[in-house]
Amino acid sequence: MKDEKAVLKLERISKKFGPVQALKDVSFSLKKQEILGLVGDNAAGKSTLLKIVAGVYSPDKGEIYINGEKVNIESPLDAQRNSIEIIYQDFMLTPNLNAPANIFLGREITSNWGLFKRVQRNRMREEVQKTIQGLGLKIDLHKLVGELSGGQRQIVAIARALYFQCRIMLMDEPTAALSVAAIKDFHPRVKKARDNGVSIIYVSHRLPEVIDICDRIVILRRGQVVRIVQASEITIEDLVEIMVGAL
Amino acid sequence: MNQNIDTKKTRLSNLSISGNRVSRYISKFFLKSSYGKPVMFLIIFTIICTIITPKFLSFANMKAVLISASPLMIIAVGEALVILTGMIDLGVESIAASTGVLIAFLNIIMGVFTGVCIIVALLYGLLIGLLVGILVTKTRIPSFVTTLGIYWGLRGVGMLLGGGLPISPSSVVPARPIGFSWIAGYFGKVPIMPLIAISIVLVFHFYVCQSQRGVHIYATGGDEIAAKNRGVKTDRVKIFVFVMSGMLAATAGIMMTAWLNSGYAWSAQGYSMQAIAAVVLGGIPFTGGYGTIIGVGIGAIIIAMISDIITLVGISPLYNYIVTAVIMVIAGSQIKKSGEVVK
Repeated sequence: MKDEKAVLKLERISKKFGPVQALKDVSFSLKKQEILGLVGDNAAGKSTLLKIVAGVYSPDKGEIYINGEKVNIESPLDAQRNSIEIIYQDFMLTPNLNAPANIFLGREITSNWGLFKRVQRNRMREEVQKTIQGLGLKIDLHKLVGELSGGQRQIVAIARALYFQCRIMLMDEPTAALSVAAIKDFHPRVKKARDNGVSIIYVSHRLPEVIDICDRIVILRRGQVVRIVQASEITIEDLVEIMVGAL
Repeated sequence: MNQNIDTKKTRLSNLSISGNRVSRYISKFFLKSSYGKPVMFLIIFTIICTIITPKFLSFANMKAVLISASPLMIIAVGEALVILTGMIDLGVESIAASTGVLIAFLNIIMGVFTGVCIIVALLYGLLIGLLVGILVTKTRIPSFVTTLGIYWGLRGVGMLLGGGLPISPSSVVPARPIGFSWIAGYFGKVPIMPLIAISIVLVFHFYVCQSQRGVHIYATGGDEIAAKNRGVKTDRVKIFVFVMSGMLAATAGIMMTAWLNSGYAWSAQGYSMQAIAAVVLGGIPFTGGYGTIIGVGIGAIIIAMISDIITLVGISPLYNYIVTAVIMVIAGSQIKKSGEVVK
């Protein structure tokens, strides 16, 4: 299934917040069409690392390579330009806008009248409709996102990532706000995205989920990579012991 | 015979279906649309005022209401832009007053050409807005504190410039009339001030609803962090709304100077609070993200109507604030919050 070529490579990434060393010399790579789990105890640096790749934070040190080329990701727009999309735990959607406005936020389809950029709402709605139908799903595109259920919001977040044909999808606790039924529906969507050519970094506290869905797992402890394992070759107990430093 | 009865029944049922549709449309407009509630308040308030005194609905009185509402409508549009992003601007009345003193000083005392005076006055509003925007976004001083400082500071600037006195045509000998007094005049039979104010409301309503920047204003008010993480330059959005608020307050200041035929540092008193009241009446919550500019324009008209009805009925103007407070609390019900905690 997966191509051995690395689509994303992190080399010696370090980040400090005041006196706290959030990440220290983190290095690993993400292969094409791979789901790579990222696990660790609280404050292990998982979310910080995702935010660095997503352009929310800049690393103090280290390099990021995409398809072998060194890139500078200094803002979310830089990340988006490099086909990187992120799905946050709370989906990071603005509740007062509808799904198309959220999906296109920051990259609206506009017709330019000089300095005035008019948003083409109908076109945006049609495009989103196609993407969501392509996922075999349905949501009311006129409703504000604040009026949608957790599962529907997640669909919006995934549609946002897929619409822009991202090559790398970062998922930060994507099932944290979902019901058990919605989680069941979610896993096939992630695998379908992978099968469609997307490489995924998947962060979750739910270890059975990580083992079930991921190909490989990177284990972080206090901001450092302590082990990279094949998901099929590890048990939950071993994973916990490596995370807490008992193994 | 039977066929006739059937046809009549069909017609009646068609009528009742279309009647249902109309009532559904009306209830949807008033209860769900962004303009519905402000329009409903306007209608209810107009009916109440007309019952109190039929003179209220006269053409002359409506014209007076619109003229007196004009500067407030313009200031309230700027305030609405700021509140839509979840911030507040308490300095608008001081920008308006100090702009009035500045333009009167330039035009009357210095004898500067009127067109240049208007451009300088608008640039003054722009620069003050830019300063506020930069202070809020770059030094991270909350907008409440920054604009409270602007409120006091620009009152002081106005006082210094005018020497604590109003600047009017008779401030120089021989008297020099204000060059832009036409703003307070008529275009044919139509008063120019409401024409300008309504145009501004419509232009900004269109801009906020249709433009990319408008979407970003709503997104910043809805969830600033989410907007930022999607690449929206929220600091630029914030600076933009303060610049617009400053320029609109300056426009109102020019208008008030033309209307009062003088520029005075203590004019426009209470306009910041009235503008905030208009924004709330217009359906924009303090947390931002929802509501429309047309709603705010209607809110400003309702506030002008309160002062007007008090004058018409012959009640002491001292009651003005109390009546406004009661209306505000009633209107506040439209943006009341559900849930356990209200701040």
